Amino acid sequence: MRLVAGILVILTLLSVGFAHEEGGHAHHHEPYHWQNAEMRQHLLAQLGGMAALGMAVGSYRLLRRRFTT
Amino acid sequence: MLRAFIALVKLSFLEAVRRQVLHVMVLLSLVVIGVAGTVSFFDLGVQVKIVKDTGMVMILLAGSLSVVFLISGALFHDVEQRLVYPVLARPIPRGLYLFARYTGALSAVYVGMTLMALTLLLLLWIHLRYVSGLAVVAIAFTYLEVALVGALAMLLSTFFTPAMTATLTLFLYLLGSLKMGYLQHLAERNTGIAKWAITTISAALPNMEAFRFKDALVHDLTVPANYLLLVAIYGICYTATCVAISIWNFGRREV
Repeated sequence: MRLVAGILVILTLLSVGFAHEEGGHAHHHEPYHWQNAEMRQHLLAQLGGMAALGMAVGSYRLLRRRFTT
Repeated sequence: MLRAFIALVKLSFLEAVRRQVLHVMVLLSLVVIGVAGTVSFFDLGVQVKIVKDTGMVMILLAGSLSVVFLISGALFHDVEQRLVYPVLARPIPRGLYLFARYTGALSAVYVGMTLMALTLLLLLWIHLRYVSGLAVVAIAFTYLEVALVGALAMLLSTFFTPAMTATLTLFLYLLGSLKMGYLQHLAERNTGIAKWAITTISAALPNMEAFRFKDALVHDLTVPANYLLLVAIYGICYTATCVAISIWNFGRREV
């Protein structure tokens, strides 16, 4: 019973977040995210960041292996 | 190595499907989707929109909450109950163990989500006598979003206790859902260190909004294929990064 009550509270809280997202489109006529150039730029920037992180970690591991053997 | 991985995934899956939280989430969601689809208050067009809207939200919420609750306590429980020692005493890398725990719990959540998705598609077919391809695409991206939330929970669980992990994951999930609208607006309104901090947090947070194609499904809009591809690559890369960092942290940790 406590589990059901807890889940219902969390569902209600999360629905507030989704309502905010919905409200953005309904009241301000903002473009949907797939029509938003800023969204694409943001996704590409984060992908670039992950690629840079991966390359940095890869080079560090490669260098460490070279110097320890 | 593959046999060990499959055995660990199976164990993790069986443990996850026995958890009460998964049963409650799936049953509640199935009831809500079923009620939205069968109780008729509106004409057919509005009814179908309500079924699509409610169905997509319930699949996402139930999947996300289940994956957070199942994964956030998994590692901590294994270490506390000393269940991890007999496994790690064998020639099984810690990374493989962690990845198997993640895959098993995620598979259990996917089984529940598939039940909900099939119910939604069945209701749409009953109302419309066809199921659009976009419904399947929107559901597939919900699966990807849940995988990302699970990876985030797994990453945080290598640093924090289960309660802290679940709270932080849900908090980051909410922030990630609001980042394009709310956090950017907040950054524009602030100056100095506050602006820098908000921009930095916003840059690192996962963009959850990008996975949601509910509006396109409800209003029968088309989404460009190249955007879908970009979001799919983004989701896979972000999930892989989270899992990689959690493997690295679990590998260097004292257990």
